[in-house]
Amino acid sequence: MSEHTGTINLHGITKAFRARSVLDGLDLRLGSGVTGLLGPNGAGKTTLLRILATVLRADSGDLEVFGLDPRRDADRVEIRRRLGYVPQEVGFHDDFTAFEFVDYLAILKEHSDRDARHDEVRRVLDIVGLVDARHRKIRKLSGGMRRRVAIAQALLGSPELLVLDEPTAGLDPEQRLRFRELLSAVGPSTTTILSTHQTTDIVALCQRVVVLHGGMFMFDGSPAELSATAVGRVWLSVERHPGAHVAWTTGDGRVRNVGDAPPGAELAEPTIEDAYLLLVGVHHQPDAGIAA
Amino acid sequence: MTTDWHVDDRQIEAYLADQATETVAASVEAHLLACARCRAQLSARTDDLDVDASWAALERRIDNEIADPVVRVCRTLGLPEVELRLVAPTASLKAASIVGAVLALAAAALLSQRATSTGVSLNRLAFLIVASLLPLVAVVGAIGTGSEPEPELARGTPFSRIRIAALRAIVALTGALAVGLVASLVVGGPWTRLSLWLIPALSLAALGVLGARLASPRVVVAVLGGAWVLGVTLAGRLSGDRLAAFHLGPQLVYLAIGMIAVALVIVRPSLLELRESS
Amino acid sequence: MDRPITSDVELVAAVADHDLGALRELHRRHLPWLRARLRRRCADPGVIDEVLQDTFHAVWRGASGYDGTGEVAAWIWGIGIRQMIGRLRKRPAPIPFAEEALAAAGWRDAVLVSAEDAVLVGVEHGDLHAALARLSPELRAVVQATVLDGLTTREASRLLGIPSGTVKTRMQRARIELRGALT
Repeated sequence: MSEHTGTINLHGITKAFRARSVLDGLDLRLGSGVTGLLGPNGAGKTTLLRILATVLRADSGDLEVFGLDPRRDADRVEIRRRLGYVPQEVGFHDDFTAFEFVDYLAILKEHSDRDARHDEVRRVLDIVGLVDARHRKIRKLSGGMRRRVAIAQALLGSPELLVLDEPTAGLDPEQRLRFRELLSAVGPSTTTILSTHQTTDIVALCQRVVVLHGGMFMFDGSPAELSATAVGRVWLSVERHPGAHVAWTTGDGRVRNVGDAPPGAELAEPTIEDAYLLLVGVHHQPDAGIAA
Repeated sequence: MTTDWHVDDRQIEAYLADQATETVAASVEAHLLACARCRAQLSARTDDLDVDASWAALERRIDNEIADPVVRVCRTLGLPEVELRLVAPTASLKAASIVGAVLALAAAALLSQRATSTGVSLNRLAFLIVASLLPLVAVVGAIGTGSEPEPELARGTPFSRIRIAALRAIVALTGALAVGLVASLVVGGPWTRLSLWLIPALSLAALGVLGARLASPRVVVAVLGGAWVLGVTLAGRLSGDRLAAFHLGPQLVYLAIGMIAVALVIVRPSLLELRESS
Repeated sequence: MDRPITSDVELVAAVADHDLGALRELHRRHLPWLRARLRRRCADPGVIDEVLQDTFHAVWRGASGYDGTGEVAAWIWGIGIRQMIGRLRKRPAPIPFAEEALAAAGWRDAVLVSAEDAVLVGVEHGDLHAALARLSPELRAVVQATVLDGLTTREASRLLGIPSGTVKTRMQRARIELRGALT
């Protein structure tokens, strides 16, 4: 707690559910800016984000958020005051309108003065473009709109730390672009960590990307550095190469192979997706892109 | 209405300045009702800021409205809004069960009035059992799993879970006791007296608070309620007096159990916290 | 914000579906003329502001009650003038009012159509202009309240602060004078 170089310091974090290890000794330091968390389903992304959001306790290891220790009651409350969280799934009480939902969360976030609270609720709903739809029942909203309602509540009080578990799931391309806009609008001093299945989100949004697989970090660096790990391991050919981990026919009729290139292969510029496939391995799911 | 005639600028100016003759004004007004073009013409001559201020006030008023009629009435009566809003999502769920309880009590009461035999009828016993179980059901429902509309999100907020649970428990308990009391008064008869069912009811509710931490509301109610019904029945069988479980001796035991449970909650308020789902 | 031009009727339907943006647009379109019109019937700007609030609030709450026929502006006016009468009603009443509403429908339509005709031909040259101008101020006020504002006798008596019996008798006289002038 003496020197905190980042918003979040993780050291040796482990978590198991019924003897099945989900997180296996994670170390991580996060500072301001947007960090993307990439990994296949079941990699432990949600578990890690829930621990960061203080809704789940790690089995062992040290976690510091804003230099505070979430194991201590007073510290945990203080962290929660400065935190915005979008869970993977939001239950949504049946009868709430979008406004009532965000207002309810604002009450839980200790905005007790009604007028000021309502101003804040309108502000965050405006950011996600739902200010006009705010008095409709949530159950009557589309999936993309519900996702935006969930994002809106995370923005209440302009938190210093945003923990977003698949914030873009269910958003159409246009809404995804709007989400990118709003994330750039929250300001560079905010620390944001988001999980996603979309490598395009990572490229567009994140200064840093962390790949989580099997409860361990496989990569930590910039998106460009992630792509660079696949240099020399992506090549084009007329037919599928037997040595490729994964190969597919692209739009121009040629086959893009990812794996260990044979000598003399026509190498291609790797993408972050190629690098990700190589990292997490796709032996078990041939033909698959990134699992949806 | 199709017409080539429109209000001209001069007439609008005069109308807005209240200098138009009455007949001109009347014609302008009749025309405005039917002509969007002239309404826009008029709008262009009025202050946008006024419209914006009026809209902001209207928007605030709409946002201030509370759909839930019970909460609305309570707020009008001056009850604190934040507390109301925290109880409301749970309370509305509970409303249905309270109605159910009232019906159950009414049925029990009706049956007991029909009973003509001397001594304590089965129906009267039924009334006492239902009245003493009511607070348990209400309290466990109000703080158990499922009582929080947004559990995952709520857990990540700074608001004290203990305070919320205490609030919900108190409201549920008050409601359940009120229902029992009213039913007692309506039904009448010495065997419905508050003194008979109040202590078992409170003790069961206190045990329910402890139980809500360990299991789902249904399980808690089933276990505690089942044990209570079984105990009362057995005591009646064994002693030959159906009301044996409501006599002074057993009542003192319930009192002791209840006080221990309450003391535990006071010493360790974290017992009120919502059980983690995973 | 380039909203495609949406008709008032579509906006009311959207408001019924709890679209606050549609209400904002209706408010923007209809507040100015409604305020101007109410100002001619009430001197207190505070009361007018409240009435305007209440009117658009009632539009928000009651949009599903709009039947889709007739001008939305006329529907809003009907709400607005009744909101104002509701405000005035809270003040002490001059005398108890009669229950009966003005039911001489045929008569009413005749005068209403004439008023619209006057608009068609242009106010300055219309016969109605002259006819209305000749009416005494008391009769004119009653004609305005009942014919142009579309109020019942009872509502007009509230607005003008006169007994509804007087409204009826003045209406009779005005009707006779107008008929005479227009034929």
